[in-house]
Amino acid sequence: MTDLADYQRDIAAALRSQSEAPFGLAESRFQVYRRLVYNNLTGFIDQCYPIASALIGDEDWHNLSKAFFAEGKLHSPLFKNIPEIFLDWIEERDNVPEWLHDLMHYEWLELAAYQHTGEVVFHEGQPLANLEQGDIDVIVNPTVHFGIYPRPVHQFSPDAAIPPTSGEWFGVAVYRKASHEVAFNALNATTLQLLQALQLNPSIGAACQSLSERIPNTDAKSLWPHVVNVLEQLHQEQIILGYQRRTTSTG
Amino acid sequence: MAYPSGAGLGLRQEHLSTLFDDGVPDVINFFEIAPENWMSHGGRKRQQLNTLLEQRPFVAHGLSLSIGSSDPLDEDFVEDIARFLDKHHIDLYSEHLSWCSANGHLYDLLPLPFTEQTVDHVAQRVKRVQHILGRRIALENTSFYMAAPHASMDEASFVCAVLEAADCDLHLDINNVFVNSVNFGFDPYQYLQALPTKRIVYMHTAGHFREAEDLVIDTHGAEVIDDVWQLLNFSYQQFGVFPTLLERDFNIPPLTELLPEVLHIKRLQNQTVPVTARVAT
Repeated sequence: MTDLADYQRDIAAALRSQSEAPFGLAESRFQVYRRLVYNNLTGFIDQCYPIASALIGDEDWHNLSKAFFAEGKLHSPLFKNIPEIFLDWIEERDNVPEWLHDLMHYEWLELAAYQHTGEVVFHEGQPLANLEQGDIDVIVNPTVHFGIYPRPVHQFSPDAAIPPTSGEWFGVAVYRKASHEVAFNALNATTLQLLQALQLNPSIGAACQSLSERIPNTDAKSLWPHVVNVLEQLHQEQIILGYQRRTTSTG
Repeated sequence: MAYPSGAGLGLRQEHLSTLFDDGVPDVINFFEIAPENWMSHGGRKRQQLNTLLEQRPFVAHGLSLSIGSSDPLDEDFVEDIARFLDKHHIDLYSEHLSWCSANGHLYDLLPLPFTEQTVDHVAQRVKRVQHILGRRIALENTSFYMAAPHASMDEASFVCAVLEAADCDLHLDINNVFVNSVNFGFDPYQYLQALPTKRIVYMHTAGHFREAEDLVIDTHGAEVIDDVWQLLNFSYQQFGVFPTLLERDFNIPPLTELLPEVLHIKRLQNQTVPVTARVAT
């Protein structure tokens, strides 16, 4: 008698490779499952990557989807994770255009920000200039995701040619606003570094220190007014949601 | 544990804004959601769901438990389900008597071979899930399109054997009984009469797609057909009234177009003489 584990393994393998029915199962019925599982999986992928799939073209995209289904390690019980697993799988492939992963990463950021479980509460006011230097924390939007790419993937469209790399880097922040809309912002590399530093440590003083170590011939203090200007702009855009006084621990 | 009563509707994201803005129509006594679709989501829809959770009882109907799989039970996932149910005070959790993973997920419900080995395997896993959740679960008879050649029993016997061995409840999907009766050529009334009344806690009804004379695809994408309404009515007469949900997952119309079907469930429920009030003849 066929063992349950063997039965399931062979059926799963035939579905993943889109092969014929094993165990003498009726082919006319097995093809229903081949169709259902494939369409279901690709539905989640296609929805997340409309520009990447259009630029790659139907046939190549279909081949990538098929290969992913055959080889991908889909261990998450949550459907929402399928696009990210696909993205990770694409990253490990070397026979795809080098811009593809970057563009897909950018497209995935929208989904990531949209679904993020963080709450976005915007605190107005509290102009930075009125707060005392050095003991202020910023509240970074918890839904913000960053990308930095060697091509302007945020400007890619199905109708335009893919530009070559120029040595310039293009940063983006994708996040959910308090109104629940997902917003996209182009950032320069320095602003992106500043925000990444603030995600790890919300102290403005510490962020200035960290930045000064990466920029030759600067110190943290001289960076402060520039950082303040940038933060005010980021606050208006809700990438930063507000400020709070740093509570220092004694002891 | 208090289960909802009356007639319910499967909650769709497409209807959230209408329900949120206009309020929940009286005819809808409860909603059902798939925990997988909500357990790690934020944003507007999640906030709207939280509001609805305050207004009606909810049932959780899972998709990815893969109770019949030979892969190890994903206990982290079961614990996530437990937290989700507790957080939202959802008492009834049901899953499909099927499998959807083998060395990774396939994200669709696949038919189990109806064998003694499968019965034992599923029963052990149900017991483990019930232990982690600290509650009974219900298993739903699932719609299928193919049958394992090495099956040693029919579907109704398999369902009964699993429920008995696992000591869990039955979530009876009336449409699935109809779908399988066409796909495998059995009498749906005989099937229903073979089921253990004492284990039924919940019912589903839905529409489907007739792909061929002998093949029905369980799409949940159309109106419920008369044959299925008759089976639901028969089930009420046979077993008594249970909370019953209308599922609609594809070709989703505006909310108001689904309400007559929810109302029809309620009418059938209201015209059923309670089993306890029936006089033996």
